[in-house]
Amino acid sequence: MTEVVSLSGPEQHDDESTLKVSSNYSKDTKVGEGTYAVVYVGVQKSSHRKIAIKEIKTGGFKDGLDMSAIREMKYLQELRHVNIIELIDIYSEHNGLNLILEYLPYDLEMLIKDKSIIFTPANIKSWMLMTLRGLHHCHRNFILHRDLKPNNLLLSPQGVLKIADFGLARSLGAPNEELTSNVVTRWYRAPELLFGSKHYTGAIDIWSVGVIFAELMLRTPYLPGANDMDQLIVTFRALGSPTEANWTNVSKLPGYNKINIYPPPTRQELRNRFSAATESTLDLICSMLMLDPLKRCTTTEALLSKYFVESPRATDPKSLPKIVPKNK
Amino acid sequence: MAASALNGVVEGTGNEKPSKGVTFDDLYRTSSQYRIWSFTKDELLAKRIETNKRGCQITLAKASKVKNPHTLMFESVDVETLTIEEELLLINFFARKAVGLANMFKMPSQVRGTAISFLKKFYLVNSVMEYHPKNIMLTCLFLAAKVENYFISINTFSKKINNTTPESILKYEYQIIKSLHFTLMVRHPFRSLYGFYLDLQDVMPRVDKNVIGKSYDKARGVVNEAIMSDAIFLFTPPQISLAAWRKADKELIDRYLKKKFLKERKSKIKNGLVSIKEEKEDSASVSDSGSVTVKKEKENENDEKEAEDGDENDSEDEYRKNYQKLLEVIENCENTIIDKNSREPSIDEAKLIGKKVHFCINPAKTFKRKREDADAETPGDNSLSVNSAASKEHSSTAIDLSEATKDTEDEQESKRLKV
Repeated sequence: MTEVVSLSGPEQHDDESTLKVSSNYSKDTKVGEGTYAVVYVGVQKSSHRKIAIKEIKTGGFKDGLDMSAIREMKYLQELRHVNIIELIDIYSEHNGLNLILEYLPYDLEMLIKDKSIIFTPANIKSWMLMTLRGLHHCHRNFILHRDLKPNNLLLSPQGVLKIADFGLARSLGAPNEELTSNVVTRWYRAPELLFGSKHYTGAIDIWSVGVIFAELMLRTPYLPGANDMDQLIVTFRALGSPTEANWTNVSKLPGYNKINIYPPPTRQELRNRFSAATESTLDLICSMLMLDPLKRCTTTEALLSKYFVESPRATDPKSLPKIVPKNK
Repeated sequence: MAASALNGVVEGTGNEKPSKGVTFDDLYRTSSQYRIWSFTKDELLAKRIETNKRGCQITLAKASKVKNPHTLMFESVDVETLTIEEELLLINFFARKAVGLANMFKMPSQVRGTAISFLKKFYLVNSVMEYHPKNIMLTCLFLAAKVENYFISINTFSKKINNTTPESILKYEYQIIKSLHFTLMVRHPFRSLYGFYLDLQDVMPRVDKNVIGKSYDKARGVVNEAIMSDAIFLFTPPQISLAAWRKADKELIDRYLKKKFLKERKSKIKNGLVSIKEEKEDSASVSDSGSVTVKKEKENENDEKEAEDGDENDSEDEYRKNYQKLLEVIENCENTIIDKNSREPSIDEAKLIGKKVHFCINPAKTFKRKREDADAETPGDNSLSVNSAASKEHSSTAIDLSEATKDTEDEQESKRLKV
């Protein structure tokens, strides 16, 4: 079957909130708008399954399809995992693209901010476990996420956590390939990125998970730098400054500067900061937040760490705290 | 359990029983490259037959609607459709053009490889008789650059290629993505070739590093050929890279394979049970002059003595079998790299097929031109002449330059005709 591709622009939509878009999916309410996409909630008609539709804007981009849309499509097509958002389908209309994604109404940031909810250590372990499993699947497929933050960890109505937003993802660089260091939302940015490193690995994602781990325990952002310079200070005040002694060749990184030298935190200081943490919890946080990316743990090491073996057992997703839906 | 914490495929939080580990082979099988774009030889041929058939039907349907503008009667037009072989030749021709352009833009090898992969996949789904490969090739290259994180703005890209406009390139982007079934990830043999390069030094420590390096460079050249062949649809990237290297340096790779896939087993085989002759020879070192000297390797004899218990007789047989199978696959792959489907046509051949394609894509236009030529009895058709303004540095792309615009006109014309 051939299809004549329309070269005209997208046809005009109704202004109604319910838009008829395809025989398989209904596009109901608009729930969000980003730089390259508009997100709607809809229903897969055959299964009555609730879905999210990411409508990729095609007009107005002078270089054709936007890079973020390309990345999202490229990587989500390859990743099938219970802890990664599912790309159910892609369909096209009016020369535009619609990504059909599973419907995930909440994110971890909403939970962290809802102070009426109490996090138990078992809850935190459950979210960490699901995050690390999803990330492990990315990394074993040689894919870096490059934008992990609570806002991108979505939650299904059944409580299952799923990594979303692959608009900044890329494949692990070849040995001599230069990567851009301008990735990851600032508060979750690893020190090698802050120093402008052009060669990095999945360790940058592990750092982000470490910061999220800390945030889950503190219920407030752990390293909230006000700007890129401040981010260095905030990071090193909390975790100590990198030196050639604890991070070989750090001084050769393009953006390296010896601003203030902070001593590394003592174990007791860490215990005081994370008062509810067990020793193996602290061990795992510390190994995720090692300044030297080569010393940072991998997803495999994190998943095999003592933290996940010791009591309490991770909460079953179904029993995790949820956002109470607001009254309409 | 710790083991189940690693096992992310199982739903939940690790309270379930552990399942078998996930291997890299398992992961490869989840890739779109395996799921959607890997075929047996027969499947691949069937797909091409189907696409060619559809291309012919479309062409014939178009031709049957050609009317004489003066009499408004249907004209009987001689339709000359393309064979599968002709389609392939033209695709191969433009795949090589894409390589030339990619080099001009100093694009990394992944971009080049991805562009070729897109082009070849596009024509499993669409016929050359529907879309001219010179247009599709340009869009594939532009898209591949974005997909591989090597962004070039459409203005820069178009400016460097004569007779293109941003619009003439971008207009196929969507059709290509759709034909690719929205799968953009391509796994190339470059990475695995580099992996074998590292492993080879490890497995054969006595071979001069420079010799391996030179051999590796030759293998890279063959890989560049291989990614233009049907091997990308029939074999995995590691298979292609091994086959390419074996084509470049059979002697070295045969020794490597034996040592890797037969000798390594020895540590698991009962002392004295096996003594495969070739294995004794593989610790050869190649001197600078290229001659091979065979040495005995003491360390491996020790390995043999570190035998383990178990049913080694069976597994020894199995390893032999697997080794034979591997060799067979690699040899098949080597043959695919050089088979007729990857033949590059001569320029004259390509021009001839190119003319046919113009007719197939737009019979009305071609018919009109023929009539006009006959009526006026003058050969003055500007659009057919080679663009003399093409600068020297772009001379390698002269063909797309002179014909790209003409084709755009053709399509515009055809739209008007449809209306």
